[in-house]
Amino acid sequence: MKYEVVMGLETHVELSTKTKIFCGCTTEFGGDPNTHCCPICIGLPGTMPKLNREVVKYAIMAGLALNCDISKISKMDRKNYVYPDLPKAYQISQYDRPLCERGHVDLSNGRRIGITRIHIEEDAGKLVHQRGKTLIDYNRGGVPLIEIVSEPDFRSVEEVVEYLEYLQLTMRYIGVSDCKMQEGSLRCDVNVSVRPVGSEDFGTRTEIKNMNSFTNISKAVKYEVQRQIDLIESGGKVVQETRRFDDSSGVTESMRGKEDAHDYRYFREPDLVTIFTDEERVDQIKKLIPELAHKKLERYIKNYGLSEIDAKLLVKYKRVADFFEESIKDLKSCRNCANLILSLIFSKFETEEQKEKFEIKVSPEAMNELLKLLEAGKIRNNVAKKTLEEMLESGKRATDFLSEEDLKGLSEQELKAVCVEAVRSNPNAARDYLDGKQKAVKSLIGFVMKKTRGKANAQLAEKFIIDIINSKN
Amino acid sequence: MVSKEELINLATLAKLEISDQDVDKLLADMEKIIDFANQINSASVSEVEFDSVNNLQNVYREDVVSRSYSQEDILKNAKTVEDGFFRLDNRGQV
Ligand SMILES: [Zn+2]
Repeated sequence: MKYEVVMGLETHVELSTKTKIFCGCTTEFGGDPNTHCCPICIGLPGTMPKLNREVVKYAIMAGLALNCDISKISKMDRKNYVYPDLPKAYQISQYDRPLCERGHVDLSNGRRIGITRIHIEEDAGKLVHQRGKTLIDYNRGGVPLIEIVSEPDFRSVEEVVEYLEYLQLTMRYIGVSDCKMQEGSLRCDVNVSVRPVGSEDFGTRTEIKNMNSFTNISKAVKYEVQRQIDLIESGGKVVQETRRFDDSSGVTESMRGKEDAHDYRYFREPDLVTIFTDEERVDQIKKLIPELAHKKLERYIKNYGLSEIDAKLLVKYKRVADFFEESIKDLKSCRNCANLILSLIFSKFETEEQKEKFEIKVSPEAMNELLKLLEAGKIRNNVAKKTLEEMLESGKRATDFLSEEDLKGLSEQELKAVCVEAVRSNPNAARDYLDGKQKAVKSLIGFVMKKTRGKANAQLAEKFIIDIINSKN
Repeated sequence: MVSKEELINLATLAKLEISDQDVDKLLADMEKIIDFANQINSASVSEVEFDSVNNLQNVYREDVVSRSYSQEDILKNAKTVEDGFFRLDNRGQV
């Protein structure tokens, strides 16, 4: 029988506010254990949570970027469960009044993934298992999270990965999270079920918890889908349960079954008041959202005539896209700029993170100045490259390297004179050429390029040189 | 009515161990507690909009970092400590 995969995602994104959701402790990643903590975030009795204004703003921004409706009235709830990473024995989260509802993401294959809701909540502490002991670090406890819950709309693991990449890029564009999977600021739970192709009913689903890399998600989903199909084919039944993916063995294994599914006994958090968001506030927040990556991509291809590959590379990092757009002001073509960024500037970075940060010594104004010289034909491509190299190195402007002489350009008259000089001072090369060694001209062109510091048009120089040699004989 | 199963489930969720003798006594207590709390259901709320205590809304803290406590102070009430971490004892307690 042929099977169809049905998946839904719960994605946790750590917000990049300066402080935690309910106290003033820093959200900085790492640090010595239990040094980013206070009585509020380690849940001491008698402490009161104070909601961080930016958390609400960031979550609404995320909601707007993902086409959600923003709830006028929202509130916080207590989700009760006892586990050592949660010092209060409850997590402050949102139950029936999430901040955002009913959004969507459109995939490149034309399918639309529905977003059920986005709510805000606090992250838990971190358990460290070493030498048979369990140690707890509460630095991460109380860091603000948004949980983005999708509809069960995914039909392949490729769709899951594209959706997550889209979330990552969008959250980075609006600046609410750095979405670093390796640091856990983007992680997700995947609900997986299979059903015979053509069936309308959903199969029994399992939930794979806490996936934190694209590769593991692919591996885990593929394994889990095959496991479920094998189970059904051999006459068994899929059990609704939570499973964990084991990185080293590549298999998913049961964590807990439905029978011990949590009974969270949600109730309203009495220490926090209603979150009220009127249309005016939503409009204010809308203005904070920049042009999103997928819109930029469309515009780069349509208006700038860039290839899809180049455009994708440029919009992948917001700082790069911003630099690119500022650098091409008043230029006729943006091709030179795209080429210099993608070939030369990108070659200076080794990691994705460096590209993301895009720390370079060249300002967009300086880049623009260089590109204008190039476009006006005052310098040639190889000179532009060399100059940009030096600019990246020293942080100086193009005009600091290029002399008046360089920028004046070379008249045909001047070029001819240099060519005459080249032939005269290299009589052997001229003779070799006449003996049929075509290549000999190359060394003469090299002489001209060196003499003119790369300003000469090599093709024109070749023509002149050949004319000069021929006219002498 | 609170059933015996509900009571035991609740105790399990709260990580409480209760003996069989305690169950009947606790069931009676639970009944009383719920009856007491149920009084709130007789309040007329049809005219009241969804709201917080004292009609407060949008009370926020600004996103400004304040000093955290020292590791030493944070760990002061911990039963067992190791390398700057809280350590779980063998009963799974902090
Ligand atoms: Zn704190």
